Amino acid sequence: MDTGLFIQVILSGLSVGAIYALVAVGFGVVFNATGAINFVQGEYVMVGGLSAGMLYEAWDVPVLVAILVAIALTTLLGVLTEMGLLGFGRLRTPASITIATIAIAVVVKGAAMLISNRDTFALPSLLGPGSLQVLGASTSRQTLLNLLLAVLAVAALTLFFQRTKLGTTLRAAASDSETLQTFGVSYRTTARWAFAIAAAVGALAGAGLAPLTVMSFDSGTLLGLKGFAAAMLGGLGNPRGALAGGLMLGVAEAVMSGYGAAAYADVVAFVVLLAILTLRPTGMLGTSRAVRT
Amino acid sequence: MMSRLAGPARTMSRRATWELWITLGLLVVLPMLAATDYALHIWTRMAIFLILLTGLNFIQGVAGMTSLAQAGFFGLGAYAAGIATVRHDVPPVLALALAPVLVTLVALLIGVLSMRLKEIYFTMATLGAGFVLYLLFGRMVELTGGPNGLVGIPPFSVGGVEFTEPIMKYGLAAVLAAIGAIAAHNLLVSRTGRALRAYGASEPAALAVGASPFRLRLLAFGLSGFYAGVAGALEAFDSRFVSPSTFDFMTAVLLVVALVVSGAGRMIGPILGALLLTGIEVFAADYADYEPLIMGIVFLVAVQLFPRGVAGELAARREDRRERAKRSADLAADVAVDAPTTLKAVQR
Amino acid sequence: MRKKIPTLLTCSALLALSACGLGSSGSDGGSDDTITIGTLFSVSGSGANLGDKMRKGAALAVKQVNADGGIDGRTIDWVFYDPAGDTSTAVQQTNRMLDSDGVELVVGGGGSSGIALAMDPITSSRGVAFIATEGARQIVEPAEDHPLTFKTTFNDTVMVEKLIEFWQANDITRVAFMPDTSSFGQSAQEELERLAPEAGIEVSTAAFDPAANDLTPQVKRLAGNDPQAYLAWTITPAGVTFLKNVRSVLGDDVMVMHGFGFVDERYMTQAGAASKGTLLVSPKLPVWDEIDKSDEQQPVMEDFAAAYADEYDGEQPNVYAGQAYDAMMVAVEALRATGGDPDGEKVADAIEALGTHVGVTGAFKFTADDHSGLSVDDVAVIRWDGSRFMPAK
Repeated sequence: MDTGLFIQVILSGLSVGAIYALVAVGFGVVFNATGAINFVQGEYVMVGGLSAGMLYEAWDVPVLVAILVAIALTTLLGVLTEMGLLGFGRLRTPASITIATIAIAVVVKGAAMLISNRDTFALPSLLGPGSLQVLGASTSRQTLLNLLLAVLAVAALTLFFQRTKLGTTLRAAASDSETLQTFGVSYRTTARWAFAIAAAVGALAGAGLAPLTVMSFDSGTLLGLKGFAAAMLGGLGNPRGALAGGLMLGVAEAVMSGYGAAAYADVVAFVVLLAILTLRPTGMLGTSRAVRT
Repeated sequence: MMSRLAGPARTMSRRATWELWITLGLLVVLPMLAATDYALHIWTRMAIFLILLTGLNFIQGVAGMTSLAQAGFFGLGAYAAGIATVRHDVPPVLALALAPVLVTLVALLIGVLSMRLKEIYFTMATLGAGFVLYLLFGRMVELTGGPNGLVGIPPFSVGGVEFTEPIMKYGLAAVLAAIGAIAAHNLLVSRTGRALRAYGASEPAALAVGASPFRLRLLAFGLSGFYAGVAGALEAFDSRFVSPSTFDFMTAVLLVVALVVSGAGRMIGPILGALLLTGIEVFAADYADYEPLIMGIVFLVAVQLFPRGVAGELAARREDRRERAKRSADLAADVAVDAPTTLKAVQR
Repeated sequence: MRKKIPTLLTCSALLALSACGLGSSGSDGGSDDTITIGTLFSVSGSGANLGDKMRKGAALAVKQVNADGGIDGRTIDWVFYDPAGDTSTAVQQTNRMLDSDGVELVVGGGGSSGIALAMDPITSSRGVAFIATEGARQIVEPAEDHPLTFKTTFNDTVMVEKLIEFWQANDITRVAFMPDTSSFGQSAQEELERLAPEAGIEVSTAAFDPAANDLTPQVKRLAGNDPQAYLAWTITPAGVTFLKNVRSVLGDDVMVMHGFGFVDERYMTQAGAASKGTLLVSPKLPVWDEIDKSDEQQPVMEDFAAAYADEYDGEQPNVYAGQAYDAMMVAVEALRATGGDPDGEKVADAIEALGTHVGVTGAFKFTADDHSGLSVDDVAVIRWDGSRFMPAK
C-alpha cells in the first residue's frame, strides 16, 4: 500500500472536513433554537469568503481586517435572516421556516452574483503561502489553522451552551420552546442569537476555505448541503457531533477521490445522508430531539 | 363521532369536486385563449407541472410531509423513458407505461427507508435521495449521456402516428393530466383518501379509525412517484432531450414552494401551482441578470403571505371572519345581560 | 363556498392571461429594416461568469455592426435570454424566440454544450440557422445530420491533436488527466481517451467535481503512474485549486497544463505562485500582442481587444468573449452574402462559401463537411509567466 497516498487522503479529508464541521455547527445552532433547517447556512460561508476576498482585493486592507469585517457583515446577514423569517410573525412551523430559508438563500445568492460581478475572489493564507510536508504527503498550512478553528469553535460553543445563561436558554429552546416562553424569554430573541452565531461560524468557514481555493457566488450551496449531511452524521444539534461528522465526511469523500471512482466523490455526502437517516437518525453522537414518529 | 365527521367530510368532497371541474375546465380553456405554437408549448409545460404537483400533493398536501425528491423522480421518469426508447428501441407507448412503474418502485423503496422519520428528517432524506438521483444522471455517462444530456429521443407515437405537432403534444399531456386529476380526486374522496387526510391532520385520528399511518404515507409517496414518472416521460417526449440540469435541487424546491403557496392539500392547489411555475418561467426570462434575485424575493413574499397556501389562506380568513362575527354576536348578547362588565372592558 | 370560487377563478385567470399574453404577441421579425437574431447565454447559475463574457462579446459585435450601418442597411434586432444553465428552460426560450419573438437566426447556445445540443433539433426543425458557441463536437457532427448548425469553437478533437503534437515534440508519453465532471470535461475526456493511445501516449484519468475544494487525493493517486505532465480540463474555479494542489503535492518542477477553458488572467493571478509556468492550449487571442505581425489574425485580434477594453472599462477579453464575437460576426458575414435573407439553407450555404473568415479566435474555414471551421493551426500552446500569457516555446 502506498503510504504517501494514504496520508494524502487523510490530510485532504481533514482539510475539507474542518470546513464541513464549521458548517455543520451552524446548522445545529439554528436547529436547536427553531427546529428548522437553515438553508442559508451554505450561503453564509460564501458571503464570508467572498466578502473577505472582495475587501482584500478592492481596498487592499490587511487579510485579518478583511476577515473580521467579513465576519461582522455575515453576522449581520444572520440577524437579517431571522428578521426575514420570523419578523412577520406568520411562519410558525419548522417546516414553513425551512422552506422560507431556501427562498432567502436564493435571494442572497442572487444578490451576491450581482455584487461580485460574477467574479471569483481569492484570499492569501494567514499562515503564509508554503505547504506542510507530512510523510510524503502535503497540505496547505491553512489546513492546520482550519482544524484549529473548527476545534476551537466547537469547544467555545460547548462551553457557551453549558456555562452561560444565554447558552442555556438556547439549549433549552431545543427541548421546549413553549416552557421557555412562559419564563419570559422570547422565541425571537433566542432565534436571533442562534442565526447570528450560525452566520458568524459560517463566515469563519468561508474565510478558512477561501485560501484553499477561490470563492464565487456559487460556492455556498453545495457546501451547505454537504455540511448538513455532516451535521446529520454526527448528530444534528450536537457541536461535538458536528466536528466528528464533518471530519468523517471529509475523509470519506477523500477516500472516494483517492481510491474509488473519483467522479462519484460528491455523491458520497448524499449517500451518507440517506444512510444515516435510515440506520441511525440520531447521528453518531446523538441529537437533541426525537427523530422518529 | 362518525355523524359529526360526516358533515365536514361531505362539504370537503363537494368542494374537491368543484375544484376538479375548475382544473379540467382550465385544461380545455387555456389553449383556446392562446394557441400559437409557443403558447401550446407553454401549456404543455404547464400540464406537465400539473401532473408533478398533483403527485406531490398526495405527500405534501394530504399526508403533510414535504418531499424534496419530486424533481429526482421527475428526472428518473424522463431518463427511464429516454433510455428505453433511445438505447433499447422500446416503443414510446410502452416507455410511457414503464417509466411510472419504475419510479413508483424507487419511491416505495425510499419510502420504506425514510417513512418512519419525523417530518423535517423525512424532508432531508428525500433531499438526499433527490440529490443522489440528480448526481447519477450526470455521472453515469454510458447510460444517460452524462452532463451533455441524452439526445435522439423519438417523438411520442401510437400506431405509427407521431406526436410532433404542438397541439398533439399538448393534447397528450392534457389528457394525462386530466386523468391524473380525476384519479386523485376519486382517491381523495374514497375511504383510503379520507384516512390519508385524517392522518395528515392528526396521527391519533388515523389510529382511531384503524389506519396504519406508515402504510398510508407510503401509499402517498408511491403515488407521488408514479405521477412524477408520467410527467418525466412526457417531458422526455416533449423536449426530446433530457439533461440533468432540469432535475436539480432548485426544481425540487420550486415544486414544493409552488404547491405550498397555492394550497397544498386542495384539489385546486396543483393547477394554481402549475400556472404560477409557468408564469414565473415566462416572465423571469425578461430580466436576465435579476432573475435569481426576483425568483427568491417572489417566493419569500409568497411564503410569508400564504404560509397555508392561497386557497388555505382564503379559507382561513373566512373562518376568522365567521368567528369574529360570532364573537361580536356573543359580545352583544353579553352586553345585554351584563352592562357593567362591558363598561369595565371599555375603561380598561 | 360561493364566495371562494370566483376569487380562485379570478386568481387563476389572471395568472393564465398573463402567461399567454406573451404567447400571442405575434412575430415582428422579418420587417424590412431589421434582422432579428436570437441568443441564449447563461448569465446566471453556475456558469454565469463565462456566460457574461460571452454576452459581452456578442453585444460588442451587434453594436459594431449596427454602428456601421447594419447588414445592407438593416440593423440587428437582438433578442437575448438567460436559461441559467437549465436545458428545459432553454428549450422553452428557444421556442419563444422562434415562435413568438420572430427570431430569424440563432447565435449562441446557452453557454453549455448540453443546452446547444438541446437547441439544435428545434432550430433545425424550423429551418433556422444556428451558430453555436459551445464545445461538444456532437453539436455539428456529422455535418449531414446538422445542415443548418455551425459552431465557432474548437472541436475537442482539434485541441487534443494539438496537445498530442506538443507532447510528442517534448517526448512526453505518460500524462495525468483531470477533467471536471461537467460536459466540458466529459467531452475532452472522450476525445483524449480515443486519440491518445493511437499516438502512443498513456493517459491516466481522475475526474473531479467542479465544486470540489481539494484535489490532492486525485493528484497523489495519479502521481503513482509517474506522469510527465498533469493536465486539467475545466472552466470552473476548481482549476485554481488544481494548480495550488499540484504545486503543493508535487513541487515546482512538474509540467502543469490546462485546457482552453481556463485561459483567464484572473484565475491565473488568483492561483498566485502556483500558476507560474502553467501551459495552456488556447486560441492565439491571449497572446495577440506577442505573435508575428504578419499573421493575418493579428490585426483582427488587436482591434477586438482594443474595442472590447474600450467598451467594458478596460477589461481584457477572454476566449469566451472572442468565440461569441466570432459567432455573431460569422452570422453577419453570411447574412451579407445572402443579401440579408435569413433563410436557414441560404445562410448555411453562405457560411460554407465564406472561404476564410478571419476571426479573433481563429481563421474559420467552414465547409459542407466541417461545420466547426477551426483547425490545429489556430491553436497555440501558451504559458503563464507569472504576470501574463506568452507563447510557449
